Amino acid sequence: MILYMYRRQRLEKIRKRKRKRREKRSSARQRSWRILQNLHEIQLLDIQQSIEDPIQPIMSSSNSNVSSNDSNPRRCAACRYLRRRCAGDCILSPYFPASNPQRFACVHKIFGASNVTRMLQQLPVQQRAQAADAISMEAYWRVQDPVYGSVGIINLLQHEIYMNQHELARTQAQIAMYTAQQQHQQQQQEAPASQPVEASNINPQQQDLLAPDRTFLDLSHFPDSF
Amino acid sequence: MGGSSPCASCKLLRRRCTKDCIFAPFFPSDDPHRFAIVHKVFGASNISKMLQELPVHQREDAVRSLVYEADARMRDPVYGCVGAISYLQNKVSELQMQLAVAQAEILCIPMQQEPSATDQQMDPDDEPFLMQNNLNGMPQLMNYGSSSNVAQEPLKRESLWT
Repeated sequence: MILYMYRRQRLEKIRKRKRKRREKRSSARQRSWRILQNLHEIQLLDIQQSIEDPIQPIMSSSNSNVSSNDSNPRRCAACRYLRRRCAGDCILSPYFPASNPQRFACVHKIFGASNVTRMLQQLPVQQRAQAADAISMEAYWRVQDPVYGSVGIINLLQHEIYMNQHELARTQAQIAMYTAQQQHQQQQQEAPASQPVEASNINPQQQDLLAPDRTFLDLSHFPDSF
Repeated sequence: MGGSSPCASCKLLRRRCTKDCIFAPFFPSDDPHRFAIVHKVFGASNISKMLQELPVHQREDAVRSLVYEADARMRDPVYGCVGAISYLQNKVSELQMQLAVAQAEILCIPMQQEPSATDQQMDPDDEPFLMQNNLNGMPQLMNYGSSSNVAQEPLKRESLWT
């Protein structure tokens, strides 16, 4: 009787082990089946998007690598960066193509994807391209110069304008002086008995030309804090 | 900390303003509009990251430039600061053209050598340096629809706000 009980216990243990192994195998099969299903869905998505966008070449299924997020050429740079599915009505895809990932990387770092999306949504469609370009440039300049960004560019340009104005005023004053000298010389030649003229006198009008004119630097629609 | 009011950023974000709040020195509570526009354009988390990457003595200038850019973006949602840059670039081009015309005109004037005129001749050192000192790599914003013109050198200088 005791032997019978012992054998029965051993058999039950063996059966339990077999059940556990069967369950492990079945769960592994289910996992692999789910992965295959996901693969199939993603391939279907690729095919659908390629149908919608016939300009892009269709990738073969053997080349598609699901584990890598950069393998899907149909996604825009924004969706690829954010690791999400690129919908057909993605607002960012026309302005951040997959060929230039750095453009969106800068924009995302400075403004953030949600802010950019909101800004573009608030604009009419015909102005979004220019807005996206302007935002990209501002983000790029901010990445290059984290302290001043595009304000540094503005300051540089204003300085150059001031120097150009100064140089132009000086050149125009010299032109005025030379022409005045020529006129005096012509008058002397015509009237040799005239009194000697001091060539070093500069008219008050010529002196005004030396002062640079800053009146056109009218950035009044920008804040005074700059 | 006992009786001090929270900074504008913590008021807007409805959070407790701690002693080491990174926004507190730059966004006082008496000017909530300043942080509101910066938060609307850039976002508080992005500003926080940007300020944390900078040394302490440069954060004030960075905040001022961010406020300026945000204000420009609010006034002009399409172009923002880039509109002003485009305007200034056009002005630079116009002035350079006018300068070139004026210099060509000087060359056309017959230089009559006289003793009194020698003092007023142009110094050879006063070359128009601005004809050569163009902004190399500055993207032409007149056609800034293309996204590839983004070459620019980093600018290092003393504070612009002094």
